[in-house]
Amino acid sequence: MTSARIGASDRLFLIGTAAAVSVVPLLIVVITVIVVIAAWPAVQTHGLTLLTGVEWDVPRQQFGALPAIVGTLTSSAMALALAAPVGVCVAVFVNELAPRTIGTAVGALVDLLAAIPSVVYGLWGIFVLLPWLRETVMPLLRDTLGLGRFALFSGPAYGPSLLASGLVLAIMILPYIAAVAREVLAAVPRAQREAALALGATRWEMVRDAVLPTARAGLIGGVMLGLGRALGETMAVTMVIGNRNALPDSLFAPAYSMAALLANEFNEATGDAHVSALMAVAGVLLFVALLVNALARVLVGSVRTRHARVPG
Amino acid sequence: MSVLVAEPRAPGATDGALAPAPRVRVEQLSAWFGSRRVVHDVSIDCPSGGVTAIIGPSGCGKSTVLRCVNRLHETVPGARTSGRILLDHADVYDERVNPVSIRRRIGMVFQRATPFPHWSIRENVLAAARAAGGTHDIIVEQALERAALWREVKDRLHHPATALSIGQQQRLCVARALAARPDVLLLDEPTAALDPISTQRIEELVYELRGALTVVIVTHNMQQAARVSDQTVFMLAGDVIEADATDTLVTRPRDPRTEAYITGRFG
Repeated sequence: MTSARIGASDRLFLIGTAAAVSVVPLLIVVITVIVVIAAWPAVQTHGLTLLTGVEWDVPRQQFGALPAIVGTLTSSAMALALAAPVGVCVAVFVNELAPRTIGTAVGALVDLLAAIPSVVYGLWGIFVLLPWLRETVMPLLRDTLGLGRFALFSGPAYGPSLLASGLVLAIMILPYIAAVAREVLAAVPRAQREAALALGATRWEMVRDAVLPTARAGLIGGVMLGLGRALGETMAVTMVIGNRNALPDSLFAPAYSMAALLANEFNEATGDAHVSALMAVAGVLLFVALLVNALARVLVGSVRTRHARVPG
Repeated sequence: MSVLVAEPRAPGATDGALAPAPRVRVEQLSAWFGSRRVVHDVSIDCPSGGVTAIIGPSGCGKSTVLRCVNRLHETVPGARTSGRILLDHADVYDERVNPVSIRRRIGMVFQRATPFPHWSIRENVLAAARAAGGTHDIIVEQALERAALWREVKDRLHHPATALSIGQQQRLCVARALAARPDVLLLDEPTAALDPISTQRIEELVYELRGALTVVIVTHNMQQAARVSDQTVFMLAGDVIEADATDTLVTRPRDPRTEAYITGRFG
């Protein structure tokens, strides 16, 4: 083979892979553009009331998505608050503390959570979680522990609620947070751990002083990747959140999320105004999810590259 | 401020000025990584307050021996040891001994500087120093002074440790180890990644520490061993080939392999 032909084959290879790869950013751009174009009429007609209005009344052409936005953000935040500490603890246990066989087994089990289809989470939510919340957890929190005095834990215990949605989401994002956290902890150089151990650190002190601070940005990134998943999760949330289009005044109250709103209404959307309003909601969801994911990637990446350079 | 060591010590009990540094005796030490035996029945006697150099080519097991002394070797998955290592008369491998308490008596400095990157210079020095006595300001100044770093950093103690040059970071690691008031200091090729001037600083420092601490330094640099140590141990492929007073070993080696190494014919 002549060197010219070698050069040509390399160039062909480059062009081929580049073409395949360029599909990915192109898709993101195309999807974003389509959503924006489709949402544009609604944005022009309703303006900021799309974001701030609390009435979603299709016949009267009122499209205020605030309850769905609030529902998405609060249920995701709740999921994060529950799953982030557990996920990081799982990672620390599996990577740093447990004997290798036990650690691997626990890690594999947690990873398996990610394999459960979200509709199965939804069914489990309906048949197991909701009755349990209705009959045990909600009365316990509200009456036995007396938390009913606070608005967050007051109101009738229906079952379907922000709380249910937050719990299901927490379980669903746990494996993602744990997996990224494990990867990030594994990227902390051994030299860093040995420096702490050689100074007489206990295992816990080593994790606290040498491992977690070094991994911090990546851990936050992992948590935000989990947040990205929670924001967009549709099926399981739709099945347990209650689908009530009103601002939730309690964790026990049925609520709505943007993803659930879209899934429920798109099929029966009548009229251009309705479709356009739904597209606007989709745009908000897309924007928030992309933002959170991008930020998360940057944070996770910072740990990897920083320690690729630091001598290990 | 987070501090690694919380346990107070009896006043004066381990102060280098009051109690002599312990003699470190390695007896019939073998070490494995999985099924690979990298150290074979090694015995080394490091006199109290002396500087012992362990030399040999890469992979001869010298660093592993050092890492067995503070029980760091066993923290590597699959690693194990046999034999005894005595600090004065106490075996660091005694079942009742917690390796953490051993490591609090034995300081260690690695080949690569390993300051905690998220901490300031001051915080790094104090990482293991809570029990050392005196106020923190004094501990920081004394430790940095001993490590010949004080004048360079005294006006920026709150800057991140990673803002220092590599040579300064290594001296910071020495200061961090000294601030914990160890009885023994282990140096694992401490100058391998340093420029000549930083290397000279570290060597002067090791020289000045003699008497106060029992020092064991691993190096592949024969000249360095000659400059800083009282006695030298030559290792090859996991075995001790020869151990003697440094002057003797350097000038009149008994074993032809030692001679070959120190005259630069291999390694």
